[in-house]
This record gives sequence, structure tokens and C-alpha cells, in this order.
Amino acid sequence: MNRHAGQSREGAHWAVVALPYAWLLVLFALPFAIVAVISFGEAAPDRAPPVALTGTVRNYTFLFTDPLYVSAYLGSLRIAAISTMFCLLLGYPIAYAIARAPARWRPALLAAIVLPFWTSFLIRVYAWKGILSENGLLNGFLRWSGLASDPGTLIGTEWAIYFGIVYAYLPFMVLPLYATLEKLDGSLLEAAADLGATPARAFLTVTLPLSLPGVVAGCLLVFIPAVGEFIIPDMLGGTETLMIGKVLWDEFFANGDWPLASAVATLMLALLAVPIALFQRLGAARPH
Amino acid sequence: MAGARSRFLLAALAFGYAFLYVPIVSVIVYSFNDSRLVTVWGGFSLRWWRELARNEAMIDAALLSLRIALVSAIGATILGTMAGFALARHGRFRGRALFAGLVAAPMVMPEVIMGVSMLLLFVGLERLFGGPERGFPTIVLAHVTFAAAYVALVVQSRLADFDRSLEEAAMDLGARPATVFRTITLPLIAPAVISGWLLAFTLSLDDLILTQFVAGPESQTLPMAVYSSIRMGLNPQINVVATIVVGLATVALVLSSLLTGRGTGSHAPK
Amino acid sequence: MSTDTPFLRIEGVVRRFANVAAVDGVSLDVSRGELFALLGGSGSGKTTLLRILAGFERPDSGRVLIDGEDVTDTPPWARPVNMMFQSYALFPHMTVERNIAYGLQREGLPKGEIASRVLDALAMVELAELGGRKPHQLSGGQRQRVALARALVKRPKLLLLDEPLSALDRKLRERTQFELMGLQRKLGITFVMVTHDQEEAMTMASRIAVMDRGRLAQVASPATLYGTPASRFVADFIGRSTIVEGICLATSGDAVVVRCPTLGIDATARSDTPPEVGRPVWIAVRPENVTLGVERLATAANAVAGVVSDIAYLGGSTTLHVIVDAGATLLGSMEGAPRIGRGARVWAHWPADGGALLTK
Repeated sequence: MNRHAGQSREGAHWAVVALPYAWLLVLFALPFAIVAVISFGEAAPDRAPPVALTGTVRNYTFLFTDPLYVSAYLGSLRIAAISTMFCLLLGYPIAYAIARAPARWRPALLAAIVLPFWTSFLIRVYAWKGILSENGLLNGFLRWSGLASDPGTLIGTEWAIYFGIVYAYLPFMVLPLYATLEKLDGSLLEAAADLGATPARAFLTVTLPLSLPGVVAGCLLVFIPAVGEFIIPDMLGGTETLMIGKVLWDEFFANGDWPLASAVATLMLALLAVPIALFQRLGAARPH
Repeated sequence: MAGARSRFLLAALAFGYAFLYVPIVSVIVYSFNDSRLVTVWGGFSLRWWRELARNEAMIDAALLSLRIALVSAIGATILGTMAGFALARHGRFRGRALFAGLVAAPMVMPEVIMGVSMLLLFVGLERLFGGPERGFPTIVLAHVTFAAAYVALVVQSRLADFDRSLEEAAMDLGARPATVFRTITLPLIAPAVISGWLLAFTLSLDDLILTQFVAGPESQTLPMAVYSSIRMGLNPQINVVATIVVGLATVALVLSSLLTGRGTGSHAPK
Repeated sequence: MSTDTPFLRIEGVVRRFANVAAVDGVSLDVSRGELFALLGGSGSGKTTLLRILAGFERPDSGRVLIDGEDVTDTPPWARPVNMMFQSYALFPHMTVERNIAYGLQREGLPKGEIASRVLDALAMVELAELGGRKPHQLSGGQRQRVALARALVKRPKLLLLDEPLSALDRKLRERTQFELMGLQRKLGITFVMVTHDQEEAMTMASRIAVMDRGRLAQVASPATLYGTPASRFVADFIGRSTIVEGICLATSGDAVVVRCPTLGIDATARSDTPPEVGRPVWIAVRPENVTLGVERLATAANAVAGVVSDIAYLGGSTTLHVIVDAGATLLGSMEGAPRIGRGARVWAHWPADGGALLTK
């Protein structure tokens, strides 16, 4: 309840804040400013770096009028939103089941959810490339079980991207959900039942509202990075599926247009500003 | 408990874990496949393991990645621990909201944005000061910055349930602040710091996008090598790399959860 | 109380948190060898005052002197003071022995001396065979003893105890109270303890400071606090009493006549410092001083009639709530089981010295 006595330790205390603060300002915040500035420049392939700072807004007018970019932005938002929804639908029962499992099993069950996160992202996506391919595991299963004799190939479709995103980001959905569901006092459900609520009604009126912070946190943790995802659309998606992360990558590496890539990044950041701010607020309010 | 409900939950768990592990297991299994085709089983063989052992480009890339991961994990642990302390211990200071935002943002920020912006920073620094040289140093700086966020989160949550009266008791018994930190605080948050280090190490080892942006033309890390190999098509050697990575990750996670598990066990006697 | 120079002197100490004064100008002397209690509710400032004595908080103004030495600016690690924490604050990563040795190691004592003093301390709290255990392997009572041994092994001039018994269950708490008192008498160390439990303070302390919103409401022995509370706050906080408002009508010697509208009588009370006539005053009457009966006792100095509204049987005695005809509710008690029913009309009587006269 009382704050700590500061006894001539101000120096050390100050450094603990100042050093990481300065580091993040220089290596994390400052770069965004540079990106924003360069987004008002023009590509100059004969220079090194290939940028001419002309103060033009051409990149932005281009982004807003070019159908490719508009549909890439919209496509990213749509794909991220749909994947987030699938992630929630799959993640909620898992988190709920873990939270209701006997206490001694929970750490192991949770570790099994987290383990894939510790293994390589790239390799996990690579695994799906094999599974979803023409002669992959999924089609093999479909043929063997007789569910479909001539299944098409999923690889290169938007569905493959959904699979990839849900798979890669599932731990980020389950963990915050579990954190809120685990804290849920079991006697609340008993009280609801005692007051005449059926299990389904108790879930809808007690469990679900109380786990809402976890739902929001989980959705943001999936949605925000999914919007800018590159590896998954690159490896699993087809040529007709445009996502903004991949467009940015190509603009940068294939076309070498740094100012346009910067404008793409700045606009993406602007689109994500609201969800990111929401995530920060949630993080600040989260009791430990 | 209603039978139908627990059956549904059990099914959800079974499906969830199958969904998570079938791909990983299939990758591991096919690393022992004799066939060149990664989708057709041609019998057990260590052929691709032998071939990977002779693949010098891949081995060099792996060694570079390990070196980068080692150094960046140390840097991220120091920076992240400081940030965790700042957030958990400094009630209010000017610019705290911005600081908290900066610490947490790398966890959700799309990596392509971080990649572009960091590259532009390094290009700018190179023009102004002639360095740092693009390659190992810039990759490490980038990895430290984004992995520190995870370390800070782990350390901060450990400090949040840290009983401050332990430190006061030590002071009351005659320990100066530096001694309090060495004999009480550090031993008690050590599990969090170590598991933060392991996490930072894995994140660095795995990163492709940031690295691709900030690495110079000379450096090729393991994920970069794997990525370019996958672009050529499915390759059984990648399954071998994957199997090794999964093995290492399992060891790291088990270590980390043992550490944090033991830590909490002795921490709060109720 | 004592005639020698005070061992612990607190002078005009003020400590504010965000403009709220947690401790608001406290001055206090404690003699050598006393078992002194700071008693108050939450937010009374008792814990902040204790932390100022330990050195965890610095007063915004005022001084703290221990054994004649000004320690106001001395950091906690350099004070001849040790504290037993409410949570015990045992180091979870160290064994019992290492917990106790911790403070001695900080003094840089030779290993042999540390070992023998740790053994002595363990023997003192009867935990000789548990030195190798970790804190989480101990019961609550054992942890309390380790915390005590860890603080006492430093041979402090002053031992601070923050709610020393609050984490123990009732039976253990009563036994431990007497053990702590015995230990304090044997060692002769000055104890200052913080508690919210008035029974604990009354049982253990030689003197008690009652704190209210950062100030001292009264500093006195338990008997004085109970018998002659200095204010309505103290009368209400310590034990149970009925407090009624009135106006001083007349004084003669130490006798004071007070017109009490809610009792419907002019009550007689005694005071060493009689108030001026015409002043508003209060009379605090302890239930055990109130005699109840169906008939009016002619000898009683004060008598009022009323109806019994509630009865609480406490085992050894019974407390009755009487609604006086003029409106006040008066607490009375009788020994043993209740012999009067609810709704009965009774007379309540108390002697002139059965009510404390309060002017604030």
C-alpha cells in the first residue's frame, strides 16, 4: 500500500527506465518516423539508397486509386477477420476444456498448446504446404475415407491461407482465453444454476461475458499480425490472393520501390492503429 | 457435469491437439522417407539426414543463426529485464504510457512493417555514421528489439506477484540495495529471466522476415536458407531441419516450464 | 509512566501520500523494555508509522530518535531495529537456517559465531530440528517463529511487529500472545507492535497508542483506555459502550450533572476535570456497569426505564439492548444466561462513576 522509500537509489532506478526507453525510441519508434517521411518520396533506382525525397503524395493517391492495392488492403482485412473468427471458434472450446480439466493436467495441456509456438513458424507453414498439396495428407485422407473421390487441391486458394493462419496463431487465441476462463470462479456457475439457469443459459449469461476480455485480447493478438502476414500467403496462397504484407514485400524486394513500400507500410499501420491502441489499453488494464 | 458437455469438450481437445500436431508429426515422419517426393512414402531411410549433413550452405546458415540467436538472446534478456522492472516497479513516470506501448507493440506489429522501418533506419545510420554494417550487427539489433518485448512480459508478470516485503525484510536485516538485488530479487526472478532468454533465443533462431530486410547481401541465416529452398519446391532436407528444430524447441520449452514451475512452487506458500 | 529518558522518541512526524496525511503530526515516547502497541483501524496510519520506525518510509517532517540517536535519515539496513513482517516475508529460496543467518551474514560475523547464534535462535523458538526446511514446508505457526527468530537473532534495540498474530488461527493466536510476552520479558527488548485487534493490544501491551486518521487519539495503559477514554472515538473503539449526548448542567467537586434528552434524565457522572456549565458533553457507559432489574433501585445514581429489544447470550454473560423511553438504546449486561425476555419492561441503573464523561 505504501510506496517504497527511495534511498539514494535514484540513479539505478533511472537507468532501468531510461536505457530500454532510449533503445525502443531509437530502434522502434524512430524507424516509423523515417518510413513516414520516405513514403512522401520517389523511387530513384540510380541512387543508393534508391530514394529521392520530393515531398510528393503521389504514392498515397496511387494506393487509394490502384485497384490492386485497394483490393490487397481489403483482402488482408477480410482474410484476417475470417481467420480470427475461425481461430476463436476453435480456440474457445479448447481453452474452456483446459480450464475445466483437473488442475494437475492443466500445465501439460497448456504446454502442448504452446509447444508449436516455440518451433519454427516457417516450418509449421511448410508442413501445411505438404498436407494441402495435390497428393498430400488431406486429400489422401479424403480419398481413403471416401468423402471425396476427386478432391480439388486446396493449395493456392484462400482456404489454404485460413488453415495456415488459424494453425499458426491458435496459441495466441487459446492463451488469453484460458487466462480469463481459468480465473472464473466455479461457484458463479453454481450460483447461476441455483438461481434456475440451465447450463447453456449459465454459459451465455455468466461465462461468456466474464471471458470477454480474453476474447478481445485473443482476437487482437491474431487479427493484427494476420493483416500483415507474409509467409502464409506467400507459401500457401495463390497468385490471385492478394495480401498487403506480400504486396509490400514484392514492392520492396522485387520492384525496389522503397517509397511506395513505405507508403504501403504507413497506411497499413494507420489501418491497424485502432486495434493496436485497443490492445495496449487492454494490456495496461490487465491485472496479473 | 453433464455427460454431453464433457464429451464435447473432450472432442474439442482431441481435435485441437490433432490439428496442432498432425502437421508437425507428418513433417518429422517424412524426414525419414526414402522417396524424393515429400508426399509419397517410399520406406524408412536416413538418406536425407545424410544429405543435410553434407549440405554446407545449410550448415553455415545454421551456425550463423545460432551465433545470432545466442548474442541477441543475451541482449534481449538484459533489455527486456530492465523494461520489465521499469514497468512493474516504477509506479508512474513521465511517458509511462508511451513506454508501455513501445514495449508491448513488437508483439503484435506485423513483421513486414518492422522490417521495412528498421532497414530504413539502418540505411540512414549507414549514411550518417558509416555503420553499423548490414549483416550480423544489424540482425542482432533487430532481434534484440523485438525479442525484448517477450522477455519484458515474462519478467514483468513474475515481478507482479513478487512480494515486496521480502526485499524490505532483507534491507531490515542489514542488506544494502545491491545486496538485496543479488541475494533476494535476482534468485527469485531467475526462472523468469532464464525462460525469457530461451524464448528470445528461439524467436531469433526462427525469424525470417525482419532478418530478410535488415541482413546484408552476404548473410544467410537458417530461416533464409530454408525459405529459399522451399521456394524451389518441397525438399525432404527441410523435413530434417524441421525435425531438429522441433526437437530443440521441445527441450527449450520443457526446460523453461520446469524452471517457472519450480519457481512458483517455492514462491507463494499459502 | 516511566521516569527515565525515553528510549524511542517520535517528534512531530508527518508523512503524506499524494496530499493525504497518513501520519499527521505524531509525537510519542516509548520507554526501554516496554511492549508498546499501535492500535487502529485500516487507514489510521499505524502501519505507516511502523514503517517510518523501520526506515522504509521517510517522514516529510519530524524526527525519530532511538536510544538518543537521531535515525530519521538512517536507511533501514543501518538501523538497530528489526521487524517481523505481517506476511513474515521469509525468503522462499532459503532454508530456515539460512533465513535466520541472513542478517548475521550482512554484519560480516565469523562463520562459527553465525552458526552458534542461529542454533541458539532456533532453540529459543523451539524449532531446533527444522533448520533444514524451506519456508513452504512449515506450518503457519512455525513460519511465525522463524520470522521472530530471524529478527531477534540480530539482537536489535527495538523489535517492530506488524500484525504479528493476524495470520494465525484463534487458538494458536492466544497461546502465541503469551509466548511473545514471555520472550519480551526474558530478553528485555523494546517491542513496538501494530495491531487492529484491540483484545490483542489489551492483552499484550503495557501501553497502547490508539490512532485515528493519522493522529494519536489517546496514549495510555489498557486499564486507563478502557476506564477513562479520552474521547468518543476511543470509548467506541475500545470495548463496547453506550454513548449519549448531553449538556453540562452543574458541577460540584468531581461530580457533574448532565442533561441527556435521549435518556430523559439528568445523569450524574464523575470527572477529574469537570467541564464548564452549558457545554455539550457525552457520557459513555460500559454495559457491565449497567444493572438491569424489573424494579427501580432507589440507591442508584442514574436510572432509566425502557423495553428490552435484543438479547445476545455470550456464554459467560448476556448483553441486552434496552430502548429507553426517551429514545436512546442502552447496552446492559447480566451474568450467565438471560433471565429477562424480549419486550420486557426494565429499569437500567448505573452509578455515578459508571459512566465516563467525554468532552470531545
